[in-house]
Amino acid sequence: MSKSDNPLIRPRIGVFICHCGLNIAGVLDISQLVEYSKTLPDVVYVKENRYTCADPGQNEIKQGITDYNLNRVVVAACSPRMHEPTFRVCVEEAGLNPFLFEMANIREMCSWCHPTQKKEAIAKAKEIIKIAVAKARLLKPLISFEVPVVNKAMVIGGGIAGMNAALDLANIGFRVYLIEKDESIGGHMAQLDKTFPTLDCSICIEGPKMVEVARNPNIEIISFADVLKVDGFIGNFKVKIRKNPRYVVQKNCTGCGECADVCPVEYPNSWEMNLGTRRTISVPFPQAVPLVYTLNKDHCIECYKCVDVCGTRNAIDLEQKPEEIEIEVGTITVATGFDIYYPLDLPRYGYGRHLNVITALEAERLINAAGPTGGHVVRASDGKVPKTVAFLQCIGSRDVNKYEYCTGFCCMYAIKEAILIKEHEPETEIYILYMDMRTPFKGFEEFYRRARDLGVIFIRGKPSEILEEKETHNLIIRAQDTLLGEPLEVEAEMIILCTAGIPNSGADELARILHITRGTDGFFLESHPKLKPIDTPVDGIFLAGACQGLKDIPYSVSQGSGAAGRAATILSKDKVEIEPIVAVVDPEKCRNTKSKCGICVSACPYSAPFAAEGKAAVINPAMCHGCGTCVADCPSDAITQMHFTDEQIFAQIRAALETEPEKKILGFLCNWCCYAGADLAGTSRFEYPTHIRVIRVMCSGRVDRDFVLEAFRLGAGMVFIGACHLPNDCHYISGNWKMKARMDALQGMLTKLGLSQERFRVAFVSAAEGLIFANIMKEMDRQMDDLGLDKIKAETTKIKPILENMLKRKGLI
Amino acid sequence: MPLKHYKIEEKGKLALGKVLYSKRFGITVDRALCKGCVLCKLVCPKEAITLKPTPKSSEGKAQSPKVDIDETKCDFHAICAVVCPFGAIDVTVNNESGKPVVEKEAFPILLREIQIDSERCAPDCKICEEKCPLGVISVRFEPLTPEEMKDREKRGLPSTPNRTIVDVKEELCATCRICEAECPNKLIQVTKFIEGSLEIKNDLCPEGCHDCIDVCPVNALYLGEDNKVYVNDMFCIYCGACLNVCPKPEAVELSRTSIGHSPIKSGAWNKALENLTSTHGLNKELRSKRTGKARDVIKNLKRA
Repeated sequence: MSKSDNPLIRPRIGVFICHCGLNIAGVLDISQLVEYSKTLPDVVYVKENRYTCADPGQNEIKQGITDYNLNRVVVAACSPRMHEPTFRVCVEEAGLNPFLFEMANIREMCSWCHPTQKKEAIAKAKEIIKIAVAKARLLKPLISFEVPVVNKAMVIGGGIAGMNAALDLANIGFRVYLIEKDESIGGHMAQLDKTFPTLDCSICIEGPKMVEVARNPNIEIISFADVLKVDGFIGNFKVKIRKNPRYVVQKNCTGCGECADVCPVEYPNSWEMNLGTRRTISVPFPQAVPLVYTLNKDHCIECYKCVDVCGTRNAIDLEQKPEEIEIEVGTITVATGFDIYYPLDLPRYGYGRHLNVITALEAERLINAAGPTGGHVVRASDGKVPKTVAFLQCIGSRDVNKYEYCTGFCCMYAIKEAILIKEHEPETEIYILYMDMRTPFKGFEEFYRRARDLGVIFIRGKPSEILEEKETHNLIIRAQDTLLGEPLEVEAEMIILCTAGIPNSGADELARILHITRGTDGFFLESHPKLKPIDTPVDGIFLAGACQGLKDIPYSVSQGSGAAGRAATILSKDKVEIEPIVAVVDPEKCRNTKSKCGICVSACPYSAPFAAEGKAAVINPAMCHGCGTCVADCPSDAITQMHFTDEQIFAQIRAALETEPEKKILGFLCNWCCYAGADLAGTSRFEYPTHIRVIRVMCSGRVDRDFVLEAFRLGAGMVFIGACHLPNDCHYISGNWKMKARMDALQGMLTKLGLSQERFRVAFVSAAEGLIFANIMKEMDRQMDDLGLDKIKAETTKIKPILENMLKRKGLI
Repeated sequence: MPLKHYKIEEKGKLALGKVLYSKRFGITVDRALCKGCVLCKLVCPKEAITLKPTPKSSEGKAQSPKVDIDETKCDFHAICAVVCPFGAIDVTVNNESGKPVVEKEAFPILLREIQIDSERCAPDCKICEEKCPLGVISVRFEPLTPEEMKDREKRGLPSTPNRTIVDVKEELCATCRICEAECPNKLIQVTKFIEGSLEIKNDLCPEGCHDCIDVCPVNALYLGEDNKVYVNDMFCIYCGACLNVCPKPEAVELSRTSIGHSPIKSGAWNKALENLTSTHGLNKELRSKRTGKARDVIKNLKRA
């Protein structure tokens, strides 16, 4: 046992107070803080530095540790969000465990936000140091642990993004499993005719890529398969997959197609947008990879003609059963793509009612020479080539009643299809009715000009009504030309609707299986929209392509490669380090051994706890992200969060409210949002009253009811909890929801006991909302003034005995 | 445009179909020709055909159930059209009649062997047309030239000023053999395409009930002198229309044993045969096919 964790040895705390040039010293008298710190119990050494984070400052810390045998270090300086990692490394270099270090934020949360209230600011700074020392006394050394990594990757989705991710990973040298739910890889790009803005033939550029994927010895394509279950954690995912029966033996099928030639039954081909048919035994399109036929038993009449003609190759097996396999991989990349919105519920546009109204993807299949009409864009009503075609933009997109976002690629594909139709049939009159033409990227603006030069007519206006002419089945579009400010009527022989891209239909099921979240728009949520667009909150699971947010082909390809890079940072190592700020269950206290509990299991969004019947719950440290929600939810207080224990937090609360509690606001701020927002208030120099004393937690879900009760028992003027915005901002997915439910109930109880409602406040502040935080502080100051010290003290006197009983019963005081 | 299904009941026909951009599939059931038997329902592999019972007419006559086809389940391969004894079902692909399952050699056609020696017909005789219960025979007369009359005399054929031309709409003929029985000169030979047996245990019949007689399409059932129902074995085509309306189905013992069809090798046909006849009936046909094959192999061996 080292001297730092021997309970018989008292903590020897060193406090290092930073001037930070004039940032702190300009407002706070550092010598006063030094003198004050010396008076705190267990503090054996205090030193001031001009810039503690610089080399000289860091050396002074290391010197102090050695010279004075320090076993705990407190640095009073800037925000821990700024330099906690810096000082942890520094302290470790001096031979001390990095988790025996605590920071007191006297810059962002004191000197910067209270520049004109010097007297109150210095009092607050002293207490901030006192609170940090109170926690430092109780810190324990923690060791990061390592888990081994399985150096294999999985990519779910075989579209252009998924294929690129798979190829990059395979070429680095990792084995890749590419899971595709459809019969063939290729995704939507395979359905296109040409791609903008170069008008490359889509399948001509994608086909070789698909073949490359099939040929690469490191890639195993598992097609026509569904992901059933995913267990495990970063480096060690166990994935259960069901291979759906094709009724064709994959290794025997040569893709010759003789079976399809003799099959008597055909059914609508959804790959062809139901414009054409496919035989009961067939491939969805001729360039399918893998080129293995599939028999659709829903339409098979079991005539066995295919079996006969296949003969000795024996590739058809009508008794084939689904096969379940389990694969172990180190990382999972999700590249499941998107779907198209069919505007059957927007009757105004006539889709499904008028024969000659089609969607853009259907038009793409018509234009494609390999499509069901041999490359002729003809009308459904009479099979004739239309003389006038109108494209309607933003159908379902940019619509607060449907999909609020802009799909992003429809302006470009409308221009593309218009150019292709003009090239096939130069006499066609083409109109594009748009809201805005969005053509931002490389070559896009030039492409737009090309269409205008070809004579495509662009009209700014969204149609309000589409009528069908009974005999000719022509369509009369009524719109407003907003640039001219005049109503207009256009008669078109065919309408092509540019509809929204929407999240893939299986996305919610996959989100549930992988424990990843979806944003309000339904696409998978990335860890950070600016800095981490490929990561998900689940370590080891990455996103690529349109499933993370609609994007076009080059962007999808880039993100596929990006995801491969992210995955490779994990797969290239033998082990991955897990941060030790995890939750641990005390099996003696766990209630699940006596009666069925499982509250921690439902509190956790990562499925880290596991509660077998009759046994104490166990938390998988590799899956625990350290939010502390289960710790607060546990009814038996059986769970402890390392580095944020109940004892430590109670010590902080008591230190904060030791003197004049009724004038103070005790604030619990969550690290990722509200604490960062409060930091921003300081950085932006938004001044606010000095009442608040902040206790930092990783997630608002960590805030136990007992903390609030203890605060009011000690006579706190107000208690404030700052969390990430609902519904989706919580860094730990659902911690803020659990906190809200818990605190809503508590608020009810406290109000019943006679506490004024304003004294307990829960607010949602993001890391960008510094001004809002400052305003909340001002508001709470006004409310405290309005209530008055006497009322606060009177209420406290009244409820104190009740709270004492509650806390005594739990053994907390 | 999205995939469209339609179903319309008009002009005495049920018309339904599937419309894709580049292909149209359709099925029509002619209500006048459909006799409400059970055969199409038995053979549909998707179980898309249902029979809706029809109430009795205002005169108290039993009426055959109406056929209904689920347009979303139908695959338009025309197995039902092949099996219908009355030719009531017509399948179209792109508005052209056809039977995809037969054209792809995945299903046989039922053999309707009808031979009429119309040269020997008695002059002005239209008895077959009058007696045909389904109205599929039409007889017309064309004047003969004197040379033709002399030629007939030479061949010993009955003398008549007109040639009798007998047109039989074969696809609508159910091979009931009534024309064969009624022809005064025994000039017609019909082979039934469905073989089987029908027995009505008329002591089980409810008092005064003759619903089966009301619906029988070929008048194979009749009321005896004792006012009980009897079967004319020669005419029964074993379609099952009687069984569909019988209020006491235990009274009807109907079985089909074999079906005459063009040569075929098809799992779909085997299934249909099993559904129409019985597993025993299927095994019988498979056995005879097997022996036929074995015989051919040996014959070829001998030749070699």
